[in-house]
Amino acid sequence: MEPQLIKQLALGIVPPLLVALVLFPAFWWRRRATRQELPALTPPTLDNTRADPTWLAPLVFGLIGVVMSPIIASKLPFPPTGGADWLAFVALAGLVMGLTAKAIRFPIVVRWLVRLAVIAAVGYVSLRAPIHGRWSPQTSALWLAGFTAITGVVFWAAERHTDRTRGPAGPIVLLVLCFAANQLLILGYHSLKLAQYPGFFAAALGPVLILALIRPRFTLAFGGVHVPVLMTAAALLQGTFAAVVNDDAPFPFVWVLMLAASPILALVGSVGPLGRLTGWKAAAVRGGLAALPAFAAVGWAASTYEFPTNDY
Amino acid sequence: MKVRALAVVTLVALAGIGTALMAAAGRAPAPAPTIGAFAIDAVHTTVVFKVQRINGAPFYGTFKKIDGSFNIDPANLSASIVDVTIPVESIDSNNGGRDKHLKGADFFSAAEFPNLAFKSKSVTKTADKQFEIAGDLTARGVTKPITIKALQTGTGPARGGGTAAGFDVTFSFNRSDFGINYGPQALGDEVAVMVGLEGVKK
Repeated sequence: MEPQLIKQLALGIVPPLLVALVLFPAFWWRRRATRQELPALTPPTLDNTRADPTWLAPLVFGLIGVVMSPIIASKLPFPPTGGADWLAFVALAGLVMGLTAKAIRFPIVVRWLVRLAVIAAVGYVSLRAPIHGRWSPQTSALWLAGFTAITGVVFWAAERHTDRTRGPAGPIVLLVLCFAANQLLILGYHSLKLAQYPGFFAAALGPVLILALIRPRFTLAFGGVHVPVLMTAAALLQGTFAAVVNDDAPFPFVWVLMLAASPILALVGSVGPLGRLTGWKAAAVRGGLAALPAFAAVGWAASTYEFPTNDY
Repeated sequence: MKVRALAVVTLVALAGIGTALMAAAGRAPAPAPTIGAFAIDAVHTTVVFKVQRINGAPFYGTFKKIDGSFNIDPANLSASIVDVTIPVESIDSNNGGRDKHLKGADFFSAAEFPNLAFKSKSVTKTADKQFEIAGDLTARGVTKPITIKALQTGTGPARGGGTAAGFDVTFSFNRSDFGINYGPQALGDEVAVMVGLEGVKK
């Protein structure tokens, strides 16, 4: 690989990793579970997380998305034209939603109506060009409905992991999702640029996972998943769309559905005796379950990938 | 739980229908030749682009397809037009993997923006057989004004009948102005384009 390409890829990995490495321990290190809290390690609620810096995850992930998007693109056109140009704004929407989720607990119906509307809006800006230029209203509606449905389910599943558990189980599921999306976008959909967006969060979630292993009280509850899920979904939508239209990936929809199954399958780790596991054991079970479909999709995409005969 | 499972299945099914309909997404049609103008002879027209590889050599690639028409009439410059469309899918960089990358979201985003286009606004004669053509270049959904240079290289009877005319066309632009901004560490910003443009008027 050429040094220039390594520099470009490092640009998307190193800053998020360093930011997470510094900020998460700085705010969470003192939040050691007390003896009274230990037996329960009760699922996070707005009340019992009031003293925890749970605002940090949506803030850091949101700022990573907003700041890193123009950095890796080097120059973003304004107003945005292509779907990828909107990703910084997707991060901004996720940041606002994430911080709001921490501050105010709206009724579940309101929460989900807003989320689905935002997800549909993300789909719309990602596919704005074909929707306005070439697609019939029916085709556009089906794409948006499919995207909103899949992303909604992934959002729900990812949030079940982060909002109902403490420790590393939540971060590892999110890490698997983002890392697999990063690899899938490179190997399956041939886009280094789109791959870098979930790559930001895969890099940032590395230190978060280690911290959560050391500090079982850690949680990404109430807002931690918004930015990573929205940006990863938008990048995958654009990668899938490009792969289908350019006809340069054999099974783009199957791969993306396998990836979407990752946090859903990991929910098996929250049922029955598996659900009583904590710490690294819970992380191993849920991470393993999440990895099964996700890494199978990556492996499948890799098997179809034509490695360049030389560096370009 | 059953309701949730049903909801998940329904949503995934919706995505499946979206998949099936995806293939229906068509591409923008090429512009029809202007009446009285020279229709571009794609067989005898060559589009070459050049971009500097940082720490390397200038790199040359081509577009295999071009559509449109032109009519550069020194006697009637105000009526002269150039209207050209180049399908991005026809890019050829002599490496299949690189072609996929160039067509993808990192560069031209051909799925979103299938064509490059140039439409003239005015034509000026600068010297004998030399012209400057001001117009709008559209790439990756962004339209910017540019000026291209055209040197008339030949005209006469066409092989299949009618009249042929040829021009050597050159221009350059900064790819970042059009949102084609990925990999500044690896590739230069300026893209030079050279077109051996030939058209036939029946």
